[in-house]
Amino acid sequence: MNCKKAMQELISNLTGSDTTLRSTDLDAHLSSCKHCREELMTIQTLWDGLDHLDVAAMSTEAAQRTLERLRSISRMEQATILVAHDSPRVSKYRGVVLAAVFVVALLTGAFVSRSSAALALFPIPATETDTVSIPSGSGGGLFLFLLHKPDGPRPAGQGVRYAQWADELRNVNQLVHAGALHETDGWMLARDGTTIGATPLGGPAGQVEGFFLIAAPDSAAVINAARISPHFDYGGLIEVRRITN
Amino acid sequence: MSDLVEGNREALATLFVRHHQNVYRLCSRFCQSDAAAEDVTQEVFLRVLRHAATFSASAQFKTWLFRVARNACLDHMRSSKRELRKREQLASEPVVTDSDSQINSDDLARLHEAMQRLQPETREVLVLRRYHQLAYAEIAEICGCSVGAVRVRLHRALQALRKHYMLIGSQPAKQHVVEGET
Repeated sequence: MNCKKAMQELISNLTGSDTTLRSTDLDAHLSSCKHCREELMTIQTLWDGLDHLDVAAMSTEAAQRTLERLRSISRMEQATILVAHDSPRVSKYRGVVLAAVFVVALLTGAFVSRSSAALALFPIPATETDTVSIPSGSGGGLFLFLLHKPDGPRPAGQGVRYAQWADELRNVNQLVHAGALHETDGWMLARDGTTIGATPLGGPAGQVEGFFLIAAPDSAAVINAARISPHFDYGGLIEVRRITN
Repeated sequence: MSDLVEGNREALATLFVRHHQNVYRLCSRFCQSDAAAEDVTQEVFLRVLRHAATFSASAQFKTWLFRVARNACLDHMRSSKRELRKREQLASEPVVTDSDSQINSDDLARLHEAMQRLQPETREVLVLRRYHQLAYAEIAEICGCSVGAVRVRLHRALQALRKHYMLIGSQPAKQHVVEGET
């Protein structure tokens, strides 16, 4: 084996997608060729060194900025944004889910809106509400996470982190529905339908500003689902409520 | 992706949330600039939005996305004609991720500069293989070449990297070397 062939095999071994054993020819060549041994050392060092040259991740601010620009361009290109698809299928859980969402509205004093204003804060893609099975027994069931507003301002771009949280829960089939509550668009209604006043959602810290509806097999899964929330990083609290059957 | 193909443009947000970091890192390594990477990342997802219909359901989405990203990076570098200047400006220092590295920070800086001196087409195979752990076949699909060509290009890229690395080490002061790796 000459040096050129040896170098080809060395680099193939180093960069190959499968682990290839060195041929006996290459070993014999390396044992007798100091030049190739040094080349091997250098290239191996460089290849390993590349692993230590990292690039910064995209900041949440940049990601949020980019996503909003994309939305804006998309809006311009298509006069209307299709926010969500309603599935034509009727699930046996649909009634429960809709009831749960209605409970959210009652608990928080506002009707949940999937308006663009709400999505601007939480850019959470539409969830197929009838694809999540709701566990029962062993402490499982539907749980409502009420996101209480943190004390103090949050950095721009935090919406992406909430969307990532939603994505993680969706990936394990736990997310039923999620959304942000409109800051000002809500009412306090009396029994006869008259409006008593505006909801104080845009008010002080502690007010509920969003919700996640979770289907979890047990309480450990509920705690875990909440623990990975970015809400705590911003100083917010999550109130967990079981939905009664 | 199927939602996007069916015309649900909001599905783009889902794709963005899932893949923007991978795309951004790829663009950052290709373009060797954080600022350019942000712009190109946006361009990549716009292309995804506009060309979603060309995506074949039988294809790997990641490979398709990386091909879109790779083309966007090359277009960006060609149109801006700032590649050389950017490489010289060397805006950011390398981020050392492991203090137990076999090579010290000076060597890493040399390696970083050697990477910057590679031609974009040379650098891309190294980036796709080393940082994104793509198989030769996937790299071939992204770059539009054969698996054999990927192997050759990877070989040449490493040789060129070694050459620049040694040259930088032998130079007393920072001096740009016109690439001659082919």
